[in-house]
Amino acid sequence: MAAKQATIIDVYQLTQVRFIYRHQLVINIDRLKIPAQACTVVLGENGAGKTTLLSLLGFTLMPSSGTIFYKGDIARKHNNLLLRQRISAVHQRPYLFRGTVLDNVILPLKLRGVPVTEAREVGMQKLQEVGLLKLSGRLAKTLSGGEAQRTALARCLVTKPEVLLLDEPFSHLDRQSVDLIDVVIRDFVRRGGAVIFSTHDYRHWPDLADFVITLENGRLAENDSVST
Amino acid sequence: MDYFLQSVFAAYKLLVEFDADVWFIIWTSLKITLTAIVVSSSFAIPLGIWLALHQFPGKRLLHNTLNALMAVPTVMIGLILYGLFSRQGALGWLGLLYTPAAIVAGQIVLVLPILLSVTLSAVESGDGQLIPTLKSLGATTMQQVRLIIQELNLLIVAGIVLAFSRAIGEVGAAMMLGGNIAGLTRTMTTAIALETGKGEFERGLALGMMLLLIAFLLNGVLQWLQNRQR
Repeated sequence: MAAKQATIIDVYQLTQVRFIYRHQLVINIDRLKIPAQACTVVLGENGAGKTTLLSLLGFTLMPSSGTIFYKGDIARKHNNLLLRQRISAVHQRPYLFRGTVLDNVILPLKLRGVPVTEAREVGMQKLQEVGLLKLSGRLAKTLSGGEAQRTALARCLVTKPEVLLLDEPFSHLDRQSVDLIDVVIRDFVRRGGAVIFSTHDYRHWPDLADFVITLENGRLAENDSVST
Repeated sequence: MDYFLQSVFAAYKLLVEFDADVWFIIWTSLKITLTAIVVSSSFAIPLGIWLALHQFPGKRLLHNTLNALMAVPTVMIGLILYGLFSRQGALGWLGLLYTPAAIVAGQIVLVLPILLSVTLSAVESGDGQLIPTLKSLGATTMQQVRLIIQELNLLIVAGIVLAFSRAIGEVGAAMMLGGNIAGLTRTMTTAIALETGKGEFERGLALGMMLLLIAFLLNGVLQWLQNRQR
């Protein structure tokens, strides 16, 4: 752990970050550093602010006040899109678009102007990694919960993001999907990426997490290093 | 009852025998309403999506205002635009009064709140994960608008059908702004009012039947699209 800490640089630094929604203070974090090349788990009960924190880290929400640094850059409105394109997120209940599984997986590449043939090649490769190659031509709206989660994960990975944000990735999944996401997270970290995932289910984090953040009513209860 | 059935038969004959006057009125109505719908949809739908994508103070007030504007009587819209387009009005120099363009303007004002409100509601009441997903996929605002239109196309088409039905069936603004001039601004609704008043019930009925047919056709197409996507 000591050797790992010595080489770690922070991917995120949050200072005095507040997020107010409908006159309620949902996130209130004075200082928080999240390391690169590590798996950080955000723990908390339902309503603790985990999803909001992940949305702030994914720059799909902007804080009401305070500063978020991403690899040294301050997140602002004008660089918001560029930062979002370096991060990928899988939501708790992933939204899949009309069309096939492959159409969904290659969508981020098409949005970035990657030629379709190249995008399809990368898409098929990622579908193979998540064990869904056989379902590439299936309509995405007909997938089961676990298959949808794995499709969303493949869609996240095609752009080779620097950070992977996973909101409750293990909820309502079958054993096979849980094991597969576990492998993907470890592999992503091994290749130098940062994974941040939220969970209220304590069973899943101990052997995966390098760091743990505990949220209570939008505040940091604990910022601790665990395991390994 | 005989009178009514005879009139229905006479109206049917006018339509199938392609009575020039009747069909010109139908064509004028369709041309005016389609122009109004194309113009208003082309900016109301992207604007509605843009409004749904952004949070700003007064958004709730905007929602309420749009809902209130949907209930404005068409004769009021006609009256206000008449004031603007008449010779002494602020836009009198455009010379629009009693032209098809004036009716198009009236219908645009009429359907804008409908299209904006329906689009805004469709995006906001849809799957809550759609917008966060689009943002996290790194889509630009334009790409988000395009993908939202693709995903919610049926709801948006339903909004367009609603707007079209309201525009083609309105009479107050068309009468005041167009003047019901034969061969120029006579639309189906203004002609129905005129012909019935003159005692030419079958001509009014022929146009009324066409209005009904258009409404049924549009709803039929919408239902077919909905069934196809299921």
